[in-house]
Amino acid sequence: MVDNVRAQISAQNRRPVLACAIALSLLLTACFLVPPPQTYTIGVINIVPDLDETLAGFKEGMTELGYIEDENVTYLYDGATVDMTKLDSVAQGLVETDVDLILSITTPATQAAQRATAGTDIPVVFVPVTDPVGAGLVDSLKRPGGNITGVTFGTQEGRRLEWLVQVVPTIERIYVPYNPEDQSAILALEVASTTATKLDVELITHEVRNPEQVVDAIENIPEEADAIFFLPDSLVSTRMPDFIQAAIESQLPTSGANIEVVKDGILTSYGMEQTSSGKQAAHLAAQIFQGARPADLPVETAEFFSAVNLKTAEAIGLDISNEILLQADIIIR
Amino acid sequence: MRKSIRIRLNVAFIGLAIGPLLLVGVILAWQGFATQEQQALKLQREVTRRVATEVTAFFEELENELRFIGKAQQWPELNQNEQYKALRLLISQDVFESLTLLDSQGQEQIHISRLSLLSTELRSRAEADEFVIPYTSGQVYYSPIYFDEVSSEPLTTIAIPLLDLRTGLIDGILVAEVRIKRIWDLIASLEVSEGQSVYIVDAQGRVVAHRNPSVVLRGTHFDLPEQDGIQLGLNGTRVVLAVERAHFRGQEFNIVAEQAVSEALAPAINTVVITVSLVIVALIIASALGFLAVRQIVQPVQAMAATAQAVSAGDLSQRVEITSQDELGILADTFNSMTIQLQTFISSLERQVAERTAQLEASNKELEAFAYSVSHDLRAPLRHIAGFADLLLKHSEGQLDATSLHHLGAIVQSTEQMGRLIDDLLILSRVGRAEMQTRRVALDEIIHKVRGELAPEEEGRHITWEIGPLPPVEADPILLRQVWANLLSNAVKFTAQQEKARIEIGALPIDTESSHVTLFVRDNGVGFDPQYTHKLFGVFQRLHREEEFEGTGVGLATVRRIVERHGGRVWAKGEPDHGATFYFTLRQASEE
Repeated sequence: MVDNVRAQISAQNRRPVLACAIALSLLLTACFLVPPPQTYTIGVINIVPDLDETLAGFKEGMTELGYIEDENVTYLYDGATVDMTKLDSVAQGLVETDVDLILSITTPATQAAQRATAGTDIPVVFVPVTDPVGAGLVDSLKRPGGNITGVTFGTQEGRRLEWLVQVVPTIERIYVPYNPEDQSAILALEVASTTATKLDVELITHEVRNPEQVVDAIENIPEEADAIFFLPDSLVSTRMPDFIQAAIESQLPTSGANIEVVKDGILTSYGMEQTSSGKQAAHLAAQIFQGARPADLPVETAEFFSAVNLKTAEAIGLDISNEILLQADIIIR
Repeated sequence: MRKSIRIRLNVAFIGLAIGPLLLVGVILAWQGFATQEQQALKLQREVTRRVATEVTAFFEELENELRFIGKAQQWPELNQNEQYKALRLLISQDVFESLTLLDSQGQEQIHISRLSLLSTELRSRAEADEFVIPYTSGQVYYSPIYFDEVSSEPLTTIAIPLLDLRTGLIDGILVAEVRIKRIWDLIASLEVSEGQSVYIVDAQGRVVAHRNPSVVLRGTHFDLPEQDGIQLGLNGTRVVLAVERAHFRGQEFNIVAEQAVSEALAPAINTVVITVSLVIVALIIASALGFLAVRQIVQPVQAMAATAQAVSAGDLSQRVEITSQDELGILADTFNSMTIQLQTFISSLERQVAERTAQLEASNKELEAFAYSVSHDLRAPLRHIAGFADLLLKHSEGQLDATSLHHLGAIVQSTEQMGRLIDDLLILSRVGRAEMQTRRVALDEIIHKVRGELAPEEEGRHITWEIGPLPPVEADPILLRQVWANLLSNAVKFTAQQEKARIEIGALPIDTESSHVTLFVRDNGVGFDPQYTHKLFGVFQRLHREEEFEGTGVGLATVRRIVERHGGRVWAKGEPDHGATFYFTLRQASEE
């Protein structure tokens, strides 16, 4: 009996005790370790190649907020879906991939995302949408109520027209080519028309419904037009370079729907800057990833900037006063 | 129960290891928490003061700008178009939602907004606060914060009275709607610590500025706590929070800085976690060491206790196997040598007892053999003496005188007596040597036979026999018969002088716990003096003279020897002339 006990002391004791101590130390160490970071997949849907800057701004904003591409965020984007008929299948594809969030750029893209995500809880962040309430995307700007929220603009369209007239005070008749099937364009046109009346200028509207008609619109700018005013219009935007070239050749001042087109040669713009609105949208996406519901995240209004392109002014023989330059936020020299 | 030593030692060991550590840990954690909370609070206060300064500076700057423009409006060489231009320049900064110039009647002269520079649809503001208050007081007016209907962004109106430089009278008011959103950017540009957030709450408890626009846009409300410290924050979680109540021109801005407790007190929490971990690790180590140490102490004690139990139970071959050099080792060695001594002592005692017993047995046998031989060998010469004495008596009939005949008669008588004595001694001797064959014996039968043998002696006597019920016993029938023969013949003999003799035979009530039965023979004879009781059962011991009662003095000795050989005992009670009672015990016959 005594021998047994002595044998137990030597063999039984030390090893289990040591093993327990090691196991517990490991457990404690494990407690201090940070759990593996969550990764997110963001699907992007866009119809205007010119608006890709928005995605760049979004990514920049996300990076600032700690959501870094290829580290903890993967973006699914195959470039702008120029063919509007394919929008729904692209949106459906994103939903089937079970993305964590959809970033939709433009109103048609957001509407496609809305249709595809119906019945799912995949959040959608749009940037920009002119009138999210009118387009049926949200209940109200303050309480979107569904799975969609984002950044809006559009209220600035009147001021944009004012800015064009301010830069070129001699303008009397303005050519406005637009697609009557584009919700954003329609809304912008309404605002611009009101302002035109106040400014006592005439809008020469021209409907385009397909690429051929756009080409036709470029080739047949009315003789009496003093300027061209582009609405936020996906269809028209696809041929923006051609329009810019035609306008310069015709020595016509132009106003584009966003700041980026000014960099491309449009004379003036007053509106959102894609990078900054993309960043604004990134803040919303980050909040959703942190647990906020899109229904509770108010739609934000994009910040607006006034821009003027001095090179274009020179090309069309226009003299820009210092007063204008003082008021411009962005000057392309 | 024996384990209690181990438990107590373990508890003491662990307690000694953990107690101080725990105490230090608690003090450290408590102090750490207090210090950390103070530091976190200090950090929040620094942030709120900085923001308060910047917010105040922001409004002061706006005011200065507006004053400057207001004065510019007074420049006589400026026409309205140039005034308009100045306002347009001002609004292009995006700080103002709208700018309005009112005349001394409260009528809008110019009204431009961020989204439209067209000064159309001018109206009268003669009743509005932004006209009445600065106009009547001559002071700058700040409206309460309100939210834009479309964008939900917070705005405040600043109205600055414009003085006619010549008359000193107020001849106009410059009204500016200020976008509080610019303060969001100011807050967003702050470098904040992990888990920290800064926001501004107006007098109505509405959040008007936050680095996260959604918080403001959704109209979040926050009830300011009474005092700084650990409070419920904007998200309803526990935070370290500080509030700086900034007043600027009657406008109240409550700048709140909060930091999640988990972040703010992270170092203190880490201390606690580390302390707890250390305590746990120490607990394990102390338990392990304590366990081993306690085992080293308790194990030998237990082994010793077990050995002691075995030894006390009689197993003297057990040894405590402890080789340690400490006190326990000494104790074990002492215990072992004690056991060895005890063992030696006991075995030597046993040996002595065995030797003595063997010696006694040998001498007993010798004695018995001697007694037998003597008795046996004496019979032959005695028979010769008796025979020749008898022959001599027959042959000398009429030849011998009366004296010689008397002598010869005495010889014959003595030889007869000696013969009886030798017979009795042989019986006694045989009783001691005979092999016992015990079996169930019915006493009535034996007693009946013995009485039959005693019949000649009863002749001419009047004896009343009382024989009670007697249980069967376990005994050798031949030896037992001798017992009854001796006792009953004694009873008959010692009642000879009684006119009415009475002899009682019986058994005492049976003791259920005992396996023995007590039998007795009681008579009303001469009895005996109790002081000689011890002599009754000795060989050749007689309490009465030969002349009174013949006998050899061997009978009761024989009785005792037989009863004792049966594992029983024998004793007697009596008084002179009041009879005697002889008791003896025998093993009860087992139930069949």
